Amino acid sequence: MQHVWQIADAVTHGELTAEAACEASLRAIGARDPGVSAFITVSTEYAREQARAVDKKRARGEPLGRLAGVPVAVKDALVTRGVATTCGSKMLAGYMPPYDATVVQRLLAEDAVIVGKANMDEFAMGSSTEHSAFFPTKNPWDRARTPGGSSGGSAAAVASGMVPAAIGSDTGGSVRQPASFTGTVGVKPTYGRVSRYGLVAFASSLDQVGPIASDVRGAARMLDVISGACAHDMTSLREPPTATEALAHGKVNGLRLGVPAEYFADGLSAEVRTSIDQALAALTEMGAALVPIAMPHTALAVATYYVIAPAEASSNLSRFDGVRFGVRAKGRASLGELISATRAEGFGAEVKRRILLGTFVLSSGYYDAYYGRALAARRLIAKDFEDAFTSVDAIVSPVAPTAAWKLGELADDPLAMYLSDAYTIPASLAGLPALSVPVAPTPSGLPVGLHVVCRAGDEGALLSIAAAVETRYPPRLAEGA
Amino acid sequence: MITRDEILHLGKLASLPLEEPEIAALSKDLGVILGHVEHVLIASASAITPSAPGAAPGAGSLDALRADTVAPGLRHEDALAAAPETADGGFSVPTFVSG
Repeated sequence: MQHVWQIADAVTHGELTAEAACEASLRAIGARDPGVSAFITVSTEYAREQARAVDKKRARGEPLGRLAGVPVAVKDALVTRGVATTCGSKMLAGYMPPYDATVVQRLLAEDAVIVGKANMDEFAMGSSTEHSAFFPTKNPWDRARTPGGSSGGSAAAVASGMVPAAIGSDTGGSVRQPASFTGTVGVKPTYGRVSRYGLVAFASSLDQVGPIASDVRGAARMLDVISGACAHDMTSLREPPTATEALAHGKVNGLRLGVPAEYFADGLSAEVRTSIDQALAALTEMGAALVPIAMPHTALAVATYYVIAPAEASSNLSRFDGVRFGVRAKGRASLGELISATRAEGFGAEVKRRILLGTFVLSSGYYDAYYGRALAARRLIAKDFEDAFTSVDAIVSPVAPTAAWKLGELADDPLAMYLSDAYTIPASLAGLPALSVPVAPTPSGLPVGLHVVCRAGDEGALLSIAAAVETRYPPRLAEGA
Repeated sequence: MITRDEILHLGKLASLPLEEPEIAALSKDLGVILGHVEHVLIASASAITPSAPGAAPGAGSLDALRADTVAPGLRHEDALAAAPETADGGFSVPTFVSG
């Protein structure tokens, strides 16, 4: 599978048809997805129609978009007109949305070809894709292991060469951690940079849509396409986004990279640490300066997140009532019974856990102690970043404390799974752009990602640093996938 | 540890009736998770003082309102097409007002 920009350039120049690119992707899905389970829905005919339309457009001499003929997977949390959208939940099984998410509209407007909807943890609540109501996704590098989550289907589809890029969503690390676990590039943009219109809401003060791609330039092009103001999302930033692809040139000479001690403390596995240390040494060889920094409130992040995100989720998910869309419990005599029975049948265990957690922290008598404190802690965590960025250009760390764990390993220990997000959650709470870029794998061959965080709106610097890292660690697809 | 009664109360607040095995599991899991939250945010040496809710980080640069211009919305029939049951051009639900 070629990278995003290679396919788009080849289709634009007439060296490849969109139909041929689409068929190659569908063949790869047919051959590999039975073992990986990255897709909930493969939209074969829908994709072929789009591909034919792109080829006709070229035949008419019309200019093609920046993603001409590029096969793309979209996380099943974003609505697609006429293509089933489940959000990984039985609650939305068979739901046919009547409109496209803004991100989907932008992909189609730039002539991408959407080949299917990627698997995910139910309502994006999870770090392993095991909480999908349908099936777990396997890591293409080792099918006994998780691809991470919640955008695990998106990451696995890219890592196994089914598509060169996919769309994910990231609330506390759900693009970056699966990118790290699968050796792909995953970007969480600045809060407000990408529209959430048509993204099924989980925690609205945190949710961001972002790309996962097989290389940095491909991720940059995808990001450039989906970024920008949207009248349907009131949190959308009005300032025009930076065009990151042009800045993804890989120069780090003279940059000051902050290395927070708190991200290299107890809990970080030795093999991940070795890979990250090697990558940091490579960056210094390229002219960057490593600056030790303190992020003293890092230890508050997971607890803060698991108050704020469930609180918002408990409110957002109240819309699932069996009345306007989704499934409905049968044979209920009253409206109250109908709503309760629908929710009891439709939601899975992790979603129920988070709804109750959110209900608890917002309930009378506990609101100040939990939610009020979490809001205060969130501001302290954001201040850590503000302070750090007075002396450094970016902050670098591991994405996750470990490489991909075995399927089922943390299934009965929700707190342990929550703590695996400890390095990605702080940037989410602060609303900052961050990404995962592959570095050296572990001795057993599992991918490891370097986490880079930049100032709000500075996606250009983010992609530039990632491009420098990529010069030392060229993109690789999973072997044997 | 969250008690069985507390779990049932939360389920009622959230319109989420729970089965027996779920109640025990939720009581244990929420106890562990809230124990961590209490330890980190409330009980530890670095305990945080609650403050008035404020804007989320980054929200200062966000636009609260868009231009008030009329644009086509979701068509009536499209909105109804996704509903589990419809009647007389509306969403159909069981009777909820008697008399």
